[in-house]
Amino acid sequence: MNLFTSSIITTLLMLTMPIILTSASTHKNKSYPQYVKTTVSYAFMISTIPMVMFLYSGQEVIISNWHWMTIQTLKLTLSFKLDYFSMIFMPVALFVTWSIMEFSIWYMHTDLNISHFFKYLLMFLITMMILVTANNLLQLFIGWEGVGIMSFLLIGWWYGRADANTAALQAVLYNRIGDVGFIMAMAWFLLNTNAWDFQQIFAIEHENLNIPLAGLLLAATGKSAQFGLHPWLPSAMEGPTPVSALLHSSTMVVAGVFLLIRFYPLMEHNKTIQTATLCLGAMTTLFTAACALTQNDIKKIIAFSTSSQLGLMIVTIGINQPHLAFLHICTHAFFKAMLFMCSGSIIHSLNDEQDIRKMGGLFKALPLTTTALIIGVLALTGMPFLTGFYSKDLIIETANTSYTNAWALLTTLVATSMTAAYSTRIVFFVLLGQPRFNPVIIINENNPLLINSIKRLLLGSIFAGYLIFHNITPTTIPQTTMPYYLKMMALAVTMLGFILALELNSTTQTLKLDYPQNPFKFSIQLGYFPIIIHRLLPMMSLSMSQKMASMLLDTTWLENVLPKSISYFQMKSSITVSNQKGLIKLYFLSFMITLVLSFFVLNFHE
Amino acid sequence: MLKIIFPTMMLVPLTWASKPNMIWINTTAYSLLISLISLTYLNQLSDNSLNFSLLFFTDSLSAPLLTLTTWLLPLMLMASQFHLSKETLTRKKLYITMLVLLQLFLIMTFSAMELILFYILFEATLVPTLVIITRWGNQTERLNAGLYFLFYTLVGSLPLLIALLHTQNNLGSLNFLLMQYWIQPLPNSWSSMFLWLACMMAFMVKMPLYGLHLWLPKAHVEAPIAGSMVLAAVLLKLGGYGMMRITTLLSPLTSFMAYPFMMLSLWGMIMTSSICLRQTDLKSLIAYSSVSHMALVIVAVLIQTPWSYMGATALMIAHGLTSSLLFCLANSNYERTHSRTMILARGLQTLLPLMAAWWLLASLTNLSLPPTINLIGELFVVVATFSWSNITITLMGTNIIITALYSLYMLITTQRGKCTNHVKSIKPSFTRENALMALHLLPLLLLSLNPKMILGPIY
Repeated sequence: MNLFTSSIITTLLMLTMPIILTSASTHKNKSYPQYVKTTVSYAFMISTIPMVMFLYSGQEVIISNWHWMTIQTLKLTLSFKLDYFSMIFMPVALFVTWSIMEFSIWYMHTDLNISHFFKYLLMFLITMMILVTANNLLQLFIGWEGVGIMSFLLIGWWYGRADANTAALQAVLYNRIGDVGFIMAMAWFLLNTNAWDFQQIFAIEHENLNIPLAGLLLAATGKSAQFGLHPWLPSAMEGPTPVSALLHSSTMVVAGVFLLIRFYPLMEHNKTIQTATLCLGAMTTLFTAACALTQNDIKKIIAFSTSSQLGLMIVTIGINQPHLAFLHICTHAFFKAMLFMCSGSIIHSLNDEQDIRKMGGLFKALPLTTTALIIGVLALTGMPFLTGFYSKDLIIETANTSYTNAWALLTTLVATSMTAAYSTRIVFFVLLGQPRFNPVIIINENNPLLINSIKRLLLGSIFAGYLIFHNITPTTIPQTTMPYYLKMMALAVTMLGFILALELNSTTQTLKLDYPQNPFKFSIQLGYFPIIIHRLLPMMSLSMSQKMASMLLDTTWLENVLPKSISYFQMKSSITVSNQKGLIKLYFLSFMITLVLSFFVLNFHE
Repeated sequence: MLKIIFPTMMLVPLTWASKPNMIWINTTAYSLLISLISLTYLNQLSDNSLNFSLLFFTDSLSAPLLTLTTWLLPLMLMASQFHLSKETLTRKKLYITMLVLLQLFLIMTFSAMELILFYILFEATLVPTLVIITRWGNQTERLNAGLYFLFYTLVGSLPLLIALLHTQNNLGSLNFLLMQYWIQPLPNSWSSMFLWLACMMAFMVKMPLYGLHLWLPKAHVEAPIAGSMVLAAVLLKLGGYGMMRITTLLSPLTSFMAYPFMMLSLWGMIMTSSICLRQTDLKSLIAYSSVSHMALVIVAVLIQTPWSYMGATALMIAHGLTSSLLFCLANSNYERTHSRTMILARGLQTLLPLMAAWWLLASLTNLSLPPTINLIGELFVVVATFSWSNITITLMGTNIIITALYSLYMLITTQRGKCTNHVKSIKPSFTRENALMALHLLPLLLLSLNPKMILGPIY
């Protein structure tokens, strides 16, 4: 027992403090957001202690402290797994959240419920921490669902808007589809290994792991917005910008990738699932990159780029490099959060304008945001010696040199090239050229809350990759030599993307307007996905539930077969059987007979 | 056992002797005290049951349900105050008397040791419920609902009486404790099948099984708030409790006879939850969601494994509290907008923020968010059905998705969106209402700290 466990517990407990305190004080405190931000920053500082200790000594710890219950042979405890992944991820997530919280004090300052908002953000972070540090499947599931529900609340923050509510519901729906996979995996592990603890699951030899791993892959597909279950991610842009930043950088969407990374001891021996993962990731990264190419909403472009990067991470898991995928999660968090904050700064300055066609020439008006945006974009494309380079370049190199299917590799390379293209498009439309916005707008980025938070992430986007890359222990044997063209491949496709996009952007200014081509329509309609899936399926299932479940079965068949028919036959048969037919005239006439008879009998008695 | 039964009986004179302004407070406080006494039964020290007398006993299966029953009476009293505020004093007292009678019967049903005694009390609960529905419901359709309620359950349960008499003749005793030692495996014949059907159908109707569920939405929609609460929270659970008790009688036959009912439940679960997606009527939605949740319990009981029994017991308690809470929330909307239509009450979060928090928590527990006991129950049931047949996970999964959808659909329609003009002059939420919701949620949240208490017999 040393500083390691105690500082981790301190970090986790500290985060819960603001939530516990607000339930005690009923009055709204003005400085609550500031307080939450400071708590997170302290939590970050404390969490670096165990990280450094971990990097120095490499000790992994499992804290198992509260026995929840034992059901038959299954023991469930509150336990934390503090290994490579959770130790590195916690400081990164806390650092990024710290900056985002500082940013949202500025961004949300007009909101009346800002304390409430911060509480949600903090709970979102806490559930993510639970997810990352969990040592058994149930605890992981608590974090997993908690993240999903908190995202529902945060995306639907502006609850008066129908769009926000729809987007929030969409997020939960797609995540819930993934959850089914998770529950299936839990059930399978319980039945076959009789354990939910990771150590026990990994220790047992298995023959066929296709079912649980497919379940986990489905779960990751839902949470990390992979192809098929991706539409919620761009829709989630309806939430406030800080939420998008937090959602897309270090929490929620990387949870799916993280789950697969956690289960790599099982995945690395299963070729079927690996191939499925690889193909899924490759498809996602290409598809979403293609969608990003034509979007006009700045937040949507960045959202699609997140989705594309998530696809890349899944590809990395598919080629059996979980540690590399994890590295990309960490580096991606910095520049993606910063990109969202830059877009938030621009949107705020331009009076809530999100369309990049109505921006332009901002590099003079917003110098710091411009700097940050360009660096973020370059880091995203993997420009050498920025943060993204250390993971992205390595991923492409490893994919190039590994035994993998050429289709997936080619798809990934094309997507990488597209990353550069849409990045150029953002820079070209937002920063360069003539201003196309309303001249009355007063642009101001001189708030220290904004500047400091962006600066901090800016430093992270430049140096974090280097720092993380040089301090972690190598886990897989690196490729020592490779051909020159393979080494330069990642850079070359990126440059190609840059040049193509720049050229195209410049020439389109002079071209005359043409009827949109089919690929363009495919891209701007998001691959016709929302039109088909979001209209057809709900319409079918809802009309099924109305017509079949409700009208046909419930109110017609079940109602008629049992109660109605019984009462009908009862009535009919009672009418048939009974003597009384309602023939009043006849009945009264029958009195006549009696009367006449009695008349005769009585009169003629003598 | 008398220390619960007698105080409950004495609630009746308490009601009639109370001063007019004290009737609600007196009965609520007193019944809350009774529920505190019943908490001691939760502490089942060993695997044996607590035998109080020759007539009554509790074990770890019935104790949570018993406690739930006693816990619900003060809540029902709190919930009905507004509903009855315009009635005369005598009618109020009569109403309370009905609720007390119902609780009395329910307590004795859950703790009965003899099957015949159980049967009589099971039928006796119909009377006060029928009176509550048909006398204090709000619309004329309540008479029809009362008819449905009475006839479905009666027709379902009369064969049970014959089956019980037959068993008594054969076995010589219908004592729960003796039965498990004396019982012989049923021969594989047509008559045993009918015996199985006769024994199970009574409880299947009560649960209700899909296809026999028509009485439930009607009764729920038409009943006054206390009626809806007790129906959803306790009366449906009588079915599950009875099924778990009586399956010991029917030992080898269940595994074979269960198939059609399993299919019907699995299918009906999805049907009823998709009906929820199209409901405009708030109470009807909650009622259908009860049917869908109870289908899970039926499936779990029919599978007959320790895990599925644990799941069924946990789910019954969790659903009891959750659905009762949802009915209370629906009622608080109804008292303000005077309509059950959801779309008329939209955007209430702006006006009643604390109520919105209760709504949120209720919806989240309804869609079984971890680590609530709803999840424990549902997860165990899913695990049990997955081990029974792997394919069922697709149906279960679909149901999980739809459950989440309609719970959040309900939340979004009633709480989110723009506020409408006609609700702007509504009353604020009373402390009574907030306390009511909190008293529902508190056990739900606290039980998730130690779910073992409600898992029933842990084998």
